[in-house]
Amino acid sequence: MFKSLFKYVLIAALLGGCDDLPRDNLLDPRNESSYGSSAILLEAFVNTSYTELEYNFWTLQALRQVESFYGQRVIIAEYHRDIKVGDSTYHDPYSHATYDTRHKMYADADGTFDRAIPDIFINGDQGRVLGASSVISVYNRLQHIIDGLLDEKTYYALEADLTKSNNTLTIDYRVARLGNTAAGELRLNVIFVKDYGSDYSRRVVIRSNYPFPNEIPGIKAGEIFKGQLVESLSATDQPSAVILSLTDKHSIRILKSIEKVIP
Amino acid sequence: MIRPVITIGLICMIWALVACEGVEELINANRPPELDERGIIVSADRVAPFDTVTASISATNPVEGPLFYEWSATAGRFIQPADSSLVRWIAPLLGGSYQLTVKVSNNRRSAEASKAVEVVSSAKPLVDIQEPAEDAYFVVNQQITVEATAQHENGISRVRLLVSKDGRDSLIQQLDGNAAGVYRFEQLYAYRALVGKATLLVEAQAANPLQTIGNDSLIINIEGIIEGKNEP
Repeated sequence: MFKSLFKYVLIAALLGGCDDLPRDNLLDPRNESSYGSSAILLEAFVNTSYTELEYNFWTLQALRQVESFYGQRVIIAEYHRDIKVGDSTYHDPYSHATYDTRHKMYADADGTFDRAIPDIFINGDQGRVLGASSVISVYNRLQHIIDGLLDEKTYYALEADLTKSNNTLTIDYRVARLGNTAAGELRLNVIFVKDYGSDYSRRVVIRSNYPFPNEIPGIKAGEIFKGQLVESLSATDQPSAVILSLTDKHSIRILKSIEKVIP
Repeated sequence: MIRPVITIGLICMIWALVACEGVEELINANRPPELDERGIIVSADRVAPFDTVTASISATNPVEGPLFYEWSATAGRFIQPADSSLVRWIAPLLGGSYQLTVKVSNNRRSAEASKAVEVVSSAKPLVDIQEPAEDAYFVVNQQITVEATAQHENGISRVRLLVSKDGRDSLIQQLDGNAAGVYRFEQLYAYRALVGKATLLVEAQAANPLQTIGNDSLIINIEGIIEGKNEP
């Protein structure tokens, strides 16, 4: 009798206490002061078929060093581009026409210099490292920008669970708005990368949903949006990871990026 | 009868002559000293710092009395006494153009003459590259605007922009000296042979016979790119 009574009193006390729990977890979307941090997305445009000049190779080596130093604080995607139509010297087997248009979009937004390779955009429009004169020159420039962005707050949380079944990949993702203001319409960019084994093909983009990113409606502060993507994977083109990144509908700035290894 | 007339006539003539001299004296009393049209003559009008320059002025006084000489200079100093028609002036340390002035006075009025003497400084022009910043990055084909200041006591005759790579200097642009002392070079575009670290060198030449050259330099980075649009 006494034991049962004690149990009920304890449960009641706990329930009552829950109401008073302060929502001070910075990652809790219901906390009005919540915010998070994000890995920094580096999107590199390169060509590894043209070997007379080493610029692209220096850039890729520098990215390997950045990856090694910053670990999961950076996410790297390497788009291979054909840069001269009809000239087989420049034909890169990993290229795709949409990578040209993505590169153009970034270069136009930057406005300082036309498309050329090697070219790296950091978190969309938060930095650009164009050209190379050595591995260290690229690394130093990247480091300068990355270090300046590492402490930036993000007011979005993004999570995803991957399920692979035969040649189908299902991505269940959740987007939460942190802080105390609502978010406008968003876009979810999905980039599949593959590791081909060499230092110059470690993070090759093999597919992306650009220029048709998934639309996400506006999210109120503290709310969580859930979505699902289903991708068919061909037997020959098995990506090793998928990168998800969020942008505002009217901006190219990356608001939050995550990478998930494909099982 | 004739004799007294002649006597009176002579007296009148003498009186007239004396009276005319008094009038002339009255008129000349307000005339300033007359300076030789050559003005101040100097032993050299282009000298080194601390050189001694002999300066003289030739003047005549249209009225009776002494002439007084008062010398002055925008810098430097006179060896005393310096109150005669010939003086010695010691040039200052700093180069530049200096005015020697003499004021010659009689009892009533004065006249002035001036002469410029250039002190040639052996100092090198002071050059300071304002733009771009040290260690700045550029890519091939990008314009590199270089702005520098150059100063010298005797002025600047010309300023040149050179690019140095692997010990080789290439002249990019040359500008004439100007009073403002600011020089902007806009003819440099990064080119492939410069990829890596390159040195920007701005050198200025003094506008004097010594033509001393001063310079400033900095290192920039030129990044290589492969251009290509491949319009889809």
